[in-house]
Formats: sequence, structure tokens, C-alpha cells
Amino acid sequence: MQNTLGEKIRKLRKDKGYTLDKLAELTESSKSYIWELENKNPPRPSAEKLAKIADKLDTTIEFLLDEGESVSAEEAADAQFYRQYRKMDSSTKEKIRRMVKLWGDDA
Amino acid sequence: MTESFSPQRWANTLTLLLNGVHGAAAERFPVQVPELAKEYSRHRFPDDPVSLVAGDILPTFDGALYKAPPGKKGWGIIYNSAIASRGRINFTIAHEFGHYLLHRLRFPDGLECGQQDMMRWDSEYRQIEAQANEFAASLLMPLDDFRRQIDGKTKPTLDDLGGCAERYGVSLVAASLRWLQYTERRSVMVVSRDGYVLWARSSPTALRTGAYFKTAGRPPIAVPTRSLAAQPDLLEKSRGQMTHDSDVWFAEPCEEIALASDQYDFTISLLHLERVIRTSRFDEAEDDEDAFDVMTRRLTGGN
Repeated sequence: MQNTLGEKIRKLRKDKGYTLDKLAELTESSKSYIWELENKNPPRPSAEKLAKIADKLDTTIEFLLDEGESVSAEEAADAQFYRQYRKMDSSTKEKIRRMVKLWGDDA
Repeated sequence: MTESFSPQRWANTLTLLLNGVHGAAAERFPVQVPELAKEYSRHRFPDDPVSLVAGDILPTFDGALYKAPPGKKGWGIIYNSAIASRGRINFTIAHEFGHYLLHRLRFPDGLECGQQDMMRWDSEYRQIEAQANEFAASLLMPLDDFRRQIDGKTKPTLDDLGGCAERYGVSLVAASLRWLQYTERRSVMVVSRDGYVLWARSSPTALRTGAYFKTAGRPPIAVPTRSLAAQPDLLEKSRGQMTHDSDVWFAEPCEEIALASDQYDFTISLLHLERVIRTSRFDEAEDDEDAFDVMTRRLTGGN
């Protein structure tokens, strides 16, 4: 599973030039809590903390939690085994569909 | 039946085949997985081969194994050719080839992943991923050849391991993990970011003698303040080497070789401990347990 929430927080924090310590201080969290959010995908992060983090990073809690479109059962059957089970953006999906269509031209 | 071959057995079968074809010739490594997957499967499973291996610039994607569309035969490996490191692409293709050999019959329609099924899916998914990784590591980095590069008693630098990564067309991390599996030395690899341990792996002898870090399901472990991992300013050109006293990484001295990767934004610390643990009697005296703790443990059935 990809830690998309953590990746977003990390990217926004770095864009602002904040260290872990700085963001922890601004959001009244511990440094290790922020690190865990960014790197370890802990279950059920506190909504109150996320709201503070979103606020200090000038974003919304919706943006942080938005997982993009989820993989439908149909797509999961489409790709038998994902190397990394994660969200693909739609242009990537479209490209792969085209590659599958051209199957055999080099096979 | 071949479908019940273990990851190791499949990798050994292919390794023997490649040794037979190339012998000790320079072109034996790195293993050319796309050609191997297509050639081998065409002979071995003519009705169900790997009929496509194709890469393209596919953001947010690593690789996957696809069933051929109606009217076409077999399976296809599609991968992201834009992944920054050649080594990771090679490993990804080998990983998917592993899924083909190990899992295509067990999951002929792929893995159903309904919401209600998420728990089962998750554990099953993790298991087949681990098997595909084991296959890929064994195929790309056969132990007999690896031992010829760095024998089981040698204390390698990260450059030595980097040389093997180059030879096998894999990442430095993949080569280091493979070396840790067979070395007789007590060594530990720690990968850290922003001052905390992302994950760590110990050699078997290090593990047996208590030199390890457990990160799964635990609160974050901060890297020791006196370690190179905690002091990037001590690194020159992203590299450094330092000998530590006791009580830096472990209760015993160790040598740390560190490399900071800008690309992945983490620091690799390779820790070499001494061959045997030396304990002085004074240290032991300080470690004496509190009698209350000892009694409590005995009463609660611990040991």
C-alpha cells in the first residue's frame, strides 16, 4: 500500500522549507508523530492533528485524505499482480490499455 | 507439477540453465530478464508463455503481470521504463516473471479485491509479493557467484557492495540485502530518514547475538545522536566512515559506513560489529537486573 497521506504531508512540508521539528512545533505534535505520519502510514491518525497540519501547510484535510479514484474490481482483474498496489492516474491506465491492444506486434 | 516449485527452486533451475549457456563469460551478468522470460516460457509452457515484455513512461506505476487479451496467448509483463534507476526496473521485471512462474495458475483471474475481502487480500498479497521478491533476488544475484565477489568472511565497504549492484544490475539496497543473507559477519544495515529508522536488516549472526532493530509496528526509533546517520554534515560527497565506541549504535563498538542518497532521500548505514562479543565483567555487573524484575518475570512465566 502506498502512503499517499504521508507523501503529501512530506512534500508540502519540504515545499515550505519546514524541518520536522518546525512542523511539529507549529502543530503542537511530537517530532516522531509527524515522522510516523510521513513515513509509516499509522492507522487512524487523529483528525484534530490532521486539521492542524493541513492548516499550517495551507491545504485542506480533504486534500490530505483524498485517495484519488480507488481501484475497481474490474481493474484489479485487469492487472493480475501489481508490483505496487496503488492508485494509477488515468493517463497511465489509458497508456497501458493501448499497450495491451498492441499485444503481439512484438511478441 | 511445476506449479508447486518454490521461488528458490525456480531461481535455481534458471541459474543452472544460464550457467550452462554462458559459463563464466562476462555476459552472464546482469541477467537479461525480458529475453529470459520470453525464451524460457516459450519452451517450457508453449501454450501459456510470456508473450510480451514492454515498458513505457507510466507515472504512478511500477509493473504488473497481465493476462493476454482474447485471441492472444499467454501473459505480458508491463513496466514503467521511467523509473529512475535501471536496477529497480530490472528487479521489477524479475519480480513479475516470478509472479508468472509461481502464481499464474493459482490466481488465473488475478486477485479479487473486494472491500469485504480486504483483510484476506492484504495478507495473501503480502505473501505472494514476498515470494516474487525472493525469486527475483535469487535469479539476479546467485549466491555462488556473489560469494566469489565477496566471500562470507569479508568485511565489505558500500563501494564493494555497489560494485556487485553494478554487476547484477540491481540497486545498492538489493545487493546489500542479498549479501546480508549469507555473510558470516555480524553486520546490520540501517536505512534512515530525517533522523529516524525507516527499516533495518541484520545478518543471521548479528540477529542471533541481539544486534538488531525492530521497526514493524513499533514507535519510531531515532538514530543515535553520535552516529553518521544523525550528522549529515560529517559526510563528504554524501559518504562517510566512522568507528564508534560502545553505546552509540549498540552496547558494543562498531564501524559505520554511511551513504546519503539524494534520489531517495534516505541514508544507508552499514554497521560492522566485531566477530565476537566481548563483554567485560564490569559491564555485566552494571547490567544486573533488579531482583523485583527477576521475580516478577518468574512469577508471570517469562524467562
